[in-house]
Amino acid sequence: MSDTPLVQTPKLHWSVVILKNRVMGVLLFEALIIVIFSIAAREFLTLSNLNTIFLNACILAILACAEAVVIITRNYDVSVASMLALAAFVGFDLIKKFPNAGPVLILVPIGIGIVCGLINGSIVAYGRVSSVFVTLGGLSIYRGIVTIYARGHQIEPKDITDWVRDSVTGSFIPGISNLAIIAILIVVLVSIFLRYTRIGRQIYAIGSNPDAATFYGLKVSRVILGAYVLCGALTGLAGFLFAARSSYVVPWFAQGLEMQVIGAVVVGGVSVLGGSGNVVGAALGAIVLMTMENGLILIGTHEVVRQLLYGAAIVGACILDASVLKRVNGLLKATKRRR
Amino acid sequence: MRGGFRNFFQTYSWEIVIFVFYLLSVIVATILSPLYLDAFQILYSMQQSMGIASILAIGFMMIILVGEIDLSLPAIVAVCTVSLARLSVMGVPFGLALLIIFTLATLAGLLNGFLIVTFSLPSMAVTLGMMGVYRAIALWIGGYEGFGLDAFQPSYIWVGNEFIAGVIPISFLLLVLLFVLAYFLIHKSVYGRLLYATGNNRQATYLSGHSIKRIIASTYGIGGLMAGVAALVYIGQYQSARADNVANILLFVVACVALGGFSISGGKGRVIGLIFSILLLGTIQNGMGLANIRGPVQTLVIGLILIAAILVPTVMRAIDEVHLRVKNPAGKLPAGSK
Amino acid sequence: MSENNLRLSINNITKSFGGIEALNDVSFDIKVGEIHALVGENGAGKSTLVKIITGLELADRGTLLLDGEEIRFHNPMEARAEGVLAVYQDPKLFPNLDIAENVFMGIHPKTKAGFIDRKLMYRKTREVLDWLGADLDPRAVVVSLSTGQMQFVEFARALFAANEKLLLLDEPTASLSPNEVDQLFGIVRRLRDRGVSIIFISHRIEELFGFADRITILRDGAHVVTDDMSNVSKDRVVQYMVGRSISDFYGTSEAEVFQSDELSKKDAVLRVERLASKGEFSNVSFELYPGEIVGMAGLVGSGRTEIAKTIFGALPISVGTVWIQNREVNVNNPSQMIEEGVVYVPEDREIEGLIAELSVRDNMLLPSVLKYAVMGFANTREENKIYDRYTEEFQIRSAGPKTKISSLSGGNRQKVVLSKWMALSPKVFIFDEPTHGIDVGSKAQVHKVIHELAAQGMGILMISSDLPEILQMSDRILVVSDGQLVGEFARDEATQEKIMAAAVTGKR
Repeated sequence: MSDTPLVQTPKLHWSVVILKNRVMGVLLFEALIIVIFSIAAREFLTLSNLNTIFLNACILAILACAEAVVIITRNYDVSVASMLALAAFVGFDLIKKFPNAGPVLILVPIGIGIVCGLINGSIVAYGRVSSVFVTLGGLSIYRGIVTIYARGHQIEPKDITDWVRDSVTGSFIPGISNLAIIAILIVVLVSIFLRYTRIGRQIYAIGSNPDAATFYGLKVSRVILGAYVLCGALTGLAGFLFAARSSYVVPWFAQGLEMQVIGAVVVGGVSVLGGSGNVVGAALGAIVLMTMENGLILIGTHEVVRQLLYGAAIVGACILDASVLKRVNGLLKATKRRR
Repeated sequence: MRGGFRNFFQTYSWEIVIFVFYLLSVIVATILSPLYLDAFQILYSMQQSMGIASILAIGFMMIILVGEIDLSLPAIVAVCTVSLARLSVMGVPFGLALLIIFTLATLAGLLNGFLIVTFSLPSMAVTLGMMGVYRAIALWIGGYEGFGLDAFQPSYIWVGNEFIAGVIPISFLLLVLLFVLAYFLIHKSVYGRLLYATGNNRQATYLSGHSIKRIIASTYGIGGLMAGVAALVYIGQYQSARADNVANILLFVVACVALGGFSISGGKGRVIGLIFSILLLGTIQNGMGLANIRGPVQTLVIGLILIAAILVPTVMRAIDEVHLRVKNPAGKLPAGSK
Repeated sequence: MSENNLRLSINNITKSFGGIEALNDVSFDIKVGEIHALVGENGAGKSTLVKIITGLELADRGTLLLDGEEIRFHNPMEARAEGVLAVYQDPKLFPNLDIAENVFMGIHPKTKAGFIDRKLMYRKTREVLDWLGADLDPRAVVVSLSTGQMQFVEFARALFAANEKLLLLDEPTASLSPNEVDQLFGIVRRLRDRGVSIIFISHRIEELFGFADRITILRDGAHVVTDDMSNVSKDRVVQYMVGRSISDFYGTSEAEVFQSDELSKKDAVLRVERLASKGEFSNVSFELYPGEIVGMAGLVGSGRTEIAKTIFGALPISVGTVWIQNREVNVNNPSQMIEEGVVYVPEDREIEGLIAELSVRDNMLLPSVLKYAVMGFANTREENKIYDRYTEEFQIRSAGPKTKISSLSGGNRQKVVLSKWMALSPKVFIFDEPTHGIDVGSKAQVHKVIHELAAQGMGILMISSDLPEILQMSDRILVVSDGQLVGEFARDEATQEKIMAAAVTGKR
């Protein structure tokens, strides 16, 4: 009997380390850019500025959570911005029409998000068609619906009742903005959902190996539908918050936001190949993007550079993830036959 | 004789259906608005609304044939329009400018293709990112205001703006030329064969001695080139160039291609199908315009058509399955049987 | 209620796939609490039987009785619910998740509040892994494991079925190191002692002695014998596996026997030296002479296809050199090797050899389409000529050059694959299971073609699991086992037993 155990856990290769610690990497990167910008711009490292960054990131973080859930299943949802606009507009329109109804009206945008999620998810999961095309269609359909609904009107600050504004800009707990609390709460809840429920784990399984998932009898279609519905619900909520914060709501609200959302998700370590990453990373990705945008504005960079940033971030993260994957597959092959 | 007829219908079933719908749409459009049947009106407005989308659709079609996607094509168009404007302002002769722009556009497409085949990247995410990069570049070249009418030398806008015999837009002729070229490229040339082979089965094509990477990357190059051509037509038609040009055209292009019978996994679809679907969608959009339906609502309709087009194979499969079950009620098909 | 402590009673199981019979009236029994070896050549029907037992396939005829009750599963989930589980060679795991998650996917333990009890999950996984004797960290991400370790994870998953009755292991030792094999045997013994019945499919006959209780041998889809392990010897087992006369199928060959004694290595059309591909095979060296047919025998998974694909340029070379007509060649990709005159006819004809959606003519012309093109345009006239030529030469039955290739029969499809390469007049023809799944008539035609190619001076490397075919056709036979070249036999000294013996011994 020798001392060495017969079957051992292998020493971790750098690619596996990255896989497990992507979130760490994002945090380090964030720390890095904070340092760089603090040096480059005096106004950066002030409490109020950091606060601004964080609050700006909150809504994007919620959206990133929503999108991450879908991306982990190896699908896409590019209709989030339109869903958000639809949910926000209709929700606020009802608030305008029923000013005394109170906070229960928050359920309206969430409900709209759920319905949109149901539509997206059913077609993708049961139609078994490309999620890119379907949600691309959804993008225009939901935008079209909100335009029809708006009939040329828009929502203005005077239409927004106080409780709405306070929910976002107010402070239930003195010193901490409500928005921040809501965002953190959502990230935590979704995190718990993904990590501590069976459906959450199945979301990862389906993205990791769809064939094995089917083989083991997991209800793949149902889970994918669920992912889209959750995404829709969170998007609806984000819509409410976004509108509450900006005060003006127009039918072309949040147009083009998709890229920021997917950028945040991808930078945060959620691979578009599915099965990996977590919403904490996605939320951090949102913070990273907002930090960079803020810092770049402060040092006076042209908007061009900032826009280029979002695109380059997505491409860069994809390359990183793909390289890691290649390395890991190569590793796998090498150990196939023990000689 | 009979067998041949049926064979024809089976092979071209999708295209025939779209064509029938097209005829129907023309009839409906005429009923809704007698103005419709004016030939000039058709050509002109179809041109205005469909010309650029059609050119992009040709490029998109090549990429989709090999099973990939490029979301950044409209952004490349924007880069080209503002670049053309700038070159025009600088006084560069048209021919030279054209050469520069076409080269740039093709290179942009090839860059996408290179990234995707070299690193085995998911084309959806990567081209989404590159879309942002190219829009930023367009913003850098064109600035916020972009360029207006006065920026363009007459030679630059000739293609998109002029008519032959006062009736037929030159850009329309260009479009016809492009479709003819596309037809020969895809259906008559070796390259086209390789596209279909790659789209249907990459491994088998690779093992038959072809470079999959080169084939895929080249389709992106063609896509980029088409974006350049579209930019040329754009500045002629609209005499403006801004970084946010053609920001909303992607949906339309995708709808044209999906409705044209192309599958996102590649290997299916014909040029004639694309032509018919463009005619159909163009008529629908034209009709909606004449009926004064607002922009976003029109987009909604196109979105619905897109989803319907994608779902057709699924519906057909479901019908087949029901058919099979009706025929074979006793025996349940065992899982995994061939 | 079980009779005579029989766990599984297999009665008259018959199954055909599209005209080819995979299992023919197979009957034998598995006792409660025994390790039952199931042995047979490639294509003997073992995997099909496993699939039928676990519900992936339905038998055409015959019944299965589990503990006396008839069973007819429609999918592996149903089988698992009854305690019948199979563990396959290719692990179906979730690479991004850790071991515990993989083991518990779908059946995670829950706390009273309804959430997943992760502590419990890791603890239970740890327990199972300990029982298995594997010092694996339950938190290790599966993608970082070796294939052998992944097998253990599959085992751990299997052991969580509440009521294991019958465990089917399909070639479990194929990718394991000697240590891991010992461990595996220990686990299987312990399961047996618990009353579980194990069907153990393996090609490594030697390792079965002192391990399995009884053994069943299948041959060509039929049951040959079931006996106690103590009553047989390795030689007898091999004999049972192959015992048939060669002249059954192919009659006598009139082809000239190739003599390679007088030739030196310089004359070889293809020479391979110390060729290795990471994780697939190593130290492979051999020569192929023009006009010669060299057969490559070995078991499924031994690495023959990988060797062929590496020579063809479809898989990367780690070590070694390749020489074409005494000129060293830097192998990069298939298109280059095709230029050099090496062609490869894949084993998986449908997926790698043909493109189902394309027409017969397009498939036939795919490798050579550039050669005949005129200014980039497809030369339909030339192409039709080629189509006509090979359709006649091979008597390919099809409705015309433009018909979709999926409408042709298997034999005709293979002929199209052959014609595809003929049009290029190559120097070296590598065939990977050329007559797999083809009817007898077409088989003979394919053989005739191969002989003619050799007669024309091409070097033929033929991978085959059909021993009579290899013996009939080859001038020389190479035997590959576990990624190594373990034997070479000249035509007159080769026998089925010798080849099989070399193939199953394998170096470890």
